Amino acid sequence: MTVPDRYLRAPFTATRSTSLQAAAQSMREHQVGALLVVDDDDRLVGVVTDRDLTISALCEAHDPAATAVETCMSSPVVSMPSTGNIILAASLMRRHAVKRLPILGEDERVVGILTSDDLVREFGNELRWLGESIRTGIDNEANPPEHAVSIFGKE
Amino acid sequence: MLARDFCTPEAFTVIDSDSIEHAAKEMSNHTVGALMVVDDSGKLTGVITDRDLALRAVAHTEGLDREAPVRKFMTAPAEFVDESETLDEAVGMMRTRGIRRIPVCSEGRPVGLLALDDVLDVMTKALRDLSIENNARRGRMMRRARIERSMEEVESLYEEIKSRLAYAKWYAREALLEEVDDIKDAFNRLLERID
Repeated sequence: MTVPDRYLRAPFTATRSTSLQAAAQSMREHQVGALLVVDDDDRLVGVVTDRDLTISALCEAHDPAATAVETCMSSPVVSMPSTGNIILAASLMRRHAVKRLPILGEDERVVGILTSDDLVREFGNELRWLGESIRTGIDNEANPPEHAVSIFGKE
Repeated sequence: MLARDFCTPEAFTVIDSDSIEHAAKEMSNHTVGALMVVDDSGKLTGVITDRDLALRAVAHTEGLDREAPVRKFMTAPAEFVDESETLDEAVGMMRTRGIRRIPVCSEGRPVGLLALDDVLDVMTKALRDLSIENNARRGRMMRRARIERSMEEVESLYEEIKSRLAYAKWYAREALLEEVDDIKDAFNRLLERID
């Protein structure tokens, strides 16, 4: 259960100095709930979510146009190497209580991101396959297909 | 299974004329991401989320008015289900509308907020229970098979001892066979305990 390729795509990023306002606009434009914050060298330094922006601008009264996301981002970031699998991803999310897990390539740069929603979808698909195999098994036991060979040999 | 039974126990509401600053503080204080919005008479008029505030208010290029009323940024009219509706109906509605939280109302007044996460939580707990029970059953079957194998060994030993003791004194034979019977009884008691 390695990380499926569809999650290995360039994530949407911001820099430390991106304003809350610009970050919110970027989230709206790309329809995402979080941006990865990277430094000049493209290394991951934090994550900022739509909720972080709301709390900073409305509860802490920061000016959205003049406040940098580095003041409200989460840092350091829990991440997983691209050699990890989705079982490890689930356990990391649980242990660190995070909903998003950036995937790092060999050079420590971000190559993708997995969210808890992605994992629910992946595990949900697995469960559906499992359910279908069990159902097929039960049906076959009740009405064995003509070509089926009994494990006890031909009768 | 009614949608109402799966709601978060506390449903947080704000009035549509409350400021967005107040709404954000409510979200922060109660660590929730969504609030149900009601009018002065307590009827549901919309839903406001932390995401709505970020994307519609914080993103606004003409500056942020923290005193702006919630109704300006909320999602309205709110989709909702009546408290008499089933969980299936509520989940179906969330799926067709592409939303992950839905208010549950009684006569138009919110009584709870149903989140897909809560439904998922209940379902995964049920799955985990099922899996634990499955494993326990397999464990019981394996323990039973092990004990039955040992019991067969004891039976064959018993026969062997009996034939070797054929020429021993009768009281020595009886004493030894009694011991072996005790061992067999112990195995039987073990088997009973597994069921």
